[in-house]
Amino acid sequence: MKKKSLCLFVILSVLLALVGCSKGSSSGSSAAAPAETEAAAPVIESAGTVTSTGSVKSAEVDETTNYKDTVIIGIANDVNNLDPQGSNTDANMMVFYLTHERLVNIDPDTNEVIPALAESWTVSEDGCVYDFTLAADATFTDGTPCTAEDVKFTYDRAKDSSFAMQKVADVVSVEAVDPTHVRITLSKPNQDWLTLMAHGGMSILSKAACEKDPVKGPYLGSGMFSLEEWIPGSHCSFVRYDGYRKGPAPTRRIDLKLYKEASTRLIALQTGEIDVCIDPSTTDLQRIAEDPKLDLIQTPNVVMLYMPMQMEKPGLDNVHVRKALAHAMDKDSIVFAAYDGLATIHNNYINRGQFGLNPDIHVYEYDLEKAAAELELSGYKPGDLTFHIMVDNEAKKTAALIFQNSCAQIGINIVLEEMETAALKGKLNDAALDYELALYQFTDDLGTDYTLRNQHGSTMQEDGTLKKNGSNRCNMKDEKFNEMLDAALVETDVEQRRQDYYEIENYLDEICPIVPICTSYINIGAKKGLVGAIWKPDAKHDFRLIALPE
Amino acid sequence: MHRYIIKRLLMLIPVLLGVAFIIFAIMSVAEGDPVYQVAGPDATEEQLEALREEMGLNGSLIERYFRYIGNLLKGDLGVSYVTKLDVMQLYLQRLPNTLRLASIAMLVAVALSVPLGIVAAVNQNSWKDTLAMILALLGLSMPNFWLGLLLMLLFSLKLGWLPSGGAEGFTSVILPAVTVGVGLAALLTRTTRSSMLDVLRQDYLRTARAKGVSERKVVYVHALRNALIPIITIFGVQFSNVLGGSVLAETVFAWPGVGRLVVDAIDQRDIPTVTGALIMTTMLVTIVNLLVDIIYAYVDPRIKAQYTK
Repeated sequence: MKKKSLCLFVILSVLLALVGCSKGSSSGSSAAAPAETEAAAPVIESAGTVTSTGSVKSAEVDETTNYKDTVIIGIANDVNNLDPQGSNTDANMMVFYLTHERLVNIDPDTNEVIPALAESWTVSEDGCVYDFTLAADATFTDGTPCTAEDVKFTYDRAKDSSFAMQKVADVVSVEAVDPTHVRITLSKPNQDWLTLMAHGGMSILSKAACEKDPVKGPYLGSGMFSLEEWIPGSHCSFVRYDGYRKGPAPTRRIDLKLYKEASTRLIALQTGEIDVCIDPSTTDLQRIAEDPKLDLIQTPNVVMLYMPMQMEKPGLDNVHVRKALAHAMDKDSIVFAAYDGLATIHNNYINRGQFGLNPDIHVYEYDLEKAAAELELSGYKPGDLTFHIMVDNEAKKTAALIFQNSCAQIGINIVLEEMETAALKGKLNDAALDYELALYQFTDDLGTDYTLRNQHGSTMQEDGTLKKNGSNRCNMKDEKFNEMLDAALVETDVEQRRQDYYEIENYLDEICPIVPICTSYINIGAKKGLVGAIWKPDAKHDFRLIALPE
Repeated sequence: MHRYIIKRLLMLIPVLLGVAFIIFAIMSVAEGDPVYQVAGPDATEEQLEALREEMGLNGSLIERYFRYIGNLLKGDLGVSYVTKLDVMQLYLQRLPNTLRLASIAMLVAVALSVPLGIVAAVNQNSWKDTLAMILALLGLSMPNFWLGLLLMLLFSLKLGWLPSGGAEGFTSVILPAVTVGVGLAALLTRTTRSSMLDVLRQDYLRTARAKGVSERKVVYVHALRNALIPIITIFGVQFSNVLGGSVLAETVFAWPGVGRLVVDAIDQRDIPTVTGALIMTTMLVTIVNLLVDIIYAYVDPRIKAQYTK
């Protein structure tokens, strides 16, 4: 009996050891492991031309080449709403660029506003009246004409959409002069207004379709593709609109297929089940770079990680406490530990590439002595303060742990609160503003004014009080800041306007409402030979001309 | 028997009412207001209020619950906060995938576990028994996602025989079904073995052998049928679990099933989708349990007699 028990014990031990070993070897034998060990030396590649705006353009479509009928793109986040005015996620925006058009577009080479559905426009001397001339032969993908009435309908509808209303806040009236001419009047000049109109949320909708079916009507656009099938949580496919006025797209069908798990997404690319893998795991980048059949596309993104400080919470209402926290943010360690070195430290209050980014912004360098000095100036003593910080993913949790450790050294206690993204977003948006600190990100590509106004601005209410604007997570309400923004917005001299934004950033730096931390990278794996795609730093990639040789 | 089935179907009503209430209660105490999740960052107070009404979030928990039940009786599960699509439509899009995965995974589990359990029981304490138990232990201790990734690396990447993900064509279900099935087979193997061991010691089998019945017939006809009740019980429980969704396998294999629908909806605080999908799943699970009870009756005449009384 003893022998049997001993035998069984030995067998079980060997078995458990085997299972344990195989677990270890799974990460060791899979190609993921070598990349993990080399994570400190990030792979930075770009299979394509990097524009001055940070976009990466794949090679152009060649008319003499035969291209595959279908391109399948493996996406990491689901397409969950096909109404351009109903959401603002990156995945949905990529769809709106396929299916819809805006009045204007942004040139990925220069960041300048270029014609789209509107072939030309004029602006009145006072900068308040825009007269757009629409393409006469523009049609929706069901063949019906796209006219000024549709533009008016879209802009009027945007006024009631909580996602789009801020973009048309300055629009006083929209007049359909005739089928190809539309006049839009603003309440005040706005130098960034055309940039706002290029956003996916301002895609032109079909009035007739929306009135017939308010839910599915907005899916119809005048873009190069029309929706074929949408199975939320699975895939979303589009077919080429052959009647597109500038000629049909080179690929007949584009399929966006959801692969939530990064490893599966990459394996699907390697087996040829998909042609593009958006956002592979950083530990797999080396594998893509070394695969002769694949291209690795990388470009620094404009998704800025930052820490908002709720300025009305006790302790955080003291500027010296906020500055102490800023000095305690070890950005180098965060980039190394949370992003495997694949991130760029950010010290500005607007995003890289945006107009008016101050190159000489003061930097709150990581310095615990300075942090302790600021804490002393605040009147608080070490041990007096405890703040809760909300995080929603592993990278942010790692960053928060580094921050927690630094703060502990100057006597500020940081408590981590982990939650789902939806819950975190809900708490940040909740009118109760019941939070202190958070690690969050923004990807504004709508002009400097929109970024600053949305992130830090406030609006005067009828009762004379200031109410924070939508994404103002720090709850900053500062009249002087609002006035500075208003002045910059109407400034027509470009250089002066640039200087205005430098000053605004300097002013923000004194107030220290947030701690900018870093921006990471856009990573894409794609089959070699892929052409026509524009990989954008805001992760809203443009697939209209994507094609893969047969 | 018919009366029993009708009784069980009627019992579905309080179960569903209870489940709906529990889901409502849980979602209402969860952190964050779903209105802020759905509204854009610039929503005004008026828009938030209008949205709250549109989403059916105004009123007390009890009011909302009864409003929901009223709609449910009309077959209306509501509209997803996120996709703005009908929840029933979203659920029905996923259900065939879940049924396909669950059925084939159970087939894999039964095909592996029943023969293995019988061999282990018939050869108790031999190397065959030990090997069968080692395999069962392996199946039980291997993490689902890890096995899935290994299978994918071998059969998709190295050999190129099977697709790595998606739900297109018959071959796409093989890897997720094997992944789920192996995990389920472990418990079924152990249950089959212990149930068979209990039965094999019974006097009536000794009598059968004494009367010259072949060993094969003794094991596969006389013993197995009597050992089936606990196996069917475990089968029913496991099938119900898989119907609720195999989230890990569904995620690893990009399999659009009910499990991921629910998890994604929870992440997005899409209350109508969570509630609707869970209620539909509860209904399915109850029906599976009923079917299991009916199968009991056909396998064991004593139970049938009990129902008839």
